[in-house]
Amino acid sequence: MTRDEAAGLVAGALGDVAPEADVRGIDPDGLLQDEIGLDSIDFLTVVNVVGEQAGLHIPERDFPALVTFAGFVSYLVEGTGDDRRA
Amino acid sequence: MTAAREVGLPDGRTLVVRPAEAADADGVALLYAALSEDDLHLRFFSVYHPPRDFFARVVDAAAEGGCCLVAVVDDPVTRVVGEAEYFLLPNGNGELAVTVAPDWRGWLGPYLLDALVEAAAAHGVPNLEAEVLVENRRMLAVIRRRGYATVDGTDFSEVRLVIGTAGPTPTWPARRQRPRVLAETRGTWWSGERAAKAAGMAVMVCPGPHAGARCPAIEGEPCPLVTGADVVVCALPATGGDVRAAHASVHPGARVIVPGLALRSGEFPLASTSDDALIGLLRRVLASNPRPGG
Repeated sequence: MTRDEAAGLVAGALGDVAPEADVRGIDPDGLLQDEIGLDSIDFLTVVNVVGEQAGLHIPERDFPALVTFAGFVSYLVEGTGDDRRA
Repeated sequence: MTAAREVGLPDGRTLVVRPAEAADADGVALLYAALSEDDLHLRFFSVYHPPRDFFARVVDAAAEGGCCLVAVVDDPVTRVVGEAEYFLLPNGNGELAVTVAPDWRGWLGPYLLDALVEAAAAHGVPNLEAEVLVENRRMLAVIRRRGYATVDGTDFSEVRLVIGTAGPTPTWPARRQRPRVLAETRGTWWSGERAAKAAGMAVMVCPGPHAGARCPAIEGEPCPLVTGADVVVCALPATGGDVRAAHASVHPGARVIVPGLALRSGEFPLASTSDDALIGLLRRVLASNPRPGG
């Protein structure tokens, strides 16, 4: 999965759980819970949806890597074993 | 000894999850003091403001064979932003609770529970249980993401859930006191639970494969819930993997009741949804000889 593909996946899931949020305008290095007000249910929903679409099981131990948009994208790129730049 | 976990935060600070110490009692008390009345209701089933002794006992859970972990961060002084604990139950499992500061909710609750599960496994505690109000959607979401089962869903205002510490599913209690019925059905509740328990049976309800949690049987591995059960009632739809087919190959000796009449070899048909029909069939199946491999 390329960074662009991963970014699209995460942005899509965030847009679904927080349709009122400006996903394109979030700081990629800011905490998602601050940027768009993700609570624990939203966070788990995003993780489950993205994990299923990426074909990855994302264990709770890895959750700290997912707290920012940029971190989430990097995790997916590394986890899917493809860091080609689109 | 439970190892500490360190998490680098985007702002450069470090969050540490570690076993609680006696000196953390005040920090945990401050964590609870920041909870809303709704939060307290979800935690204690009433708007209960715990006394100082409560926090002293929580942080010293290890003295009673349990465990308490705290999540601390410099903010700018050291602050307890989360706490997870279990105390031992008579059946050998642990009774868990997780509390996270309102401004830290998101990833930290599931992460703390994961650390607690790891600590419990290291101490030989096979499962962690929780009594959860049905309106506590946060806690239900955190627990349901793991492989869980319902051990008591007969009260529609609260539910008792159990998660395993050493594998993808929980296990049955070590002591076998009653015939064991595993009900596999979507969601948390099984309509036959009350009747089966009234008939003297132990019941666990498994939701099967679901988001975030893996099903060992679907993946071709034995499931401890199935291998520990005397009879399985499988009412799962054939979506996301056919559990009935998985039982046939992975648990060939399991005695499986299925609704309807379309049966695989070795299955028992449940033709009616009435409690009487269910209990009658359960008793007949339990009285039958387990098939080889069961």
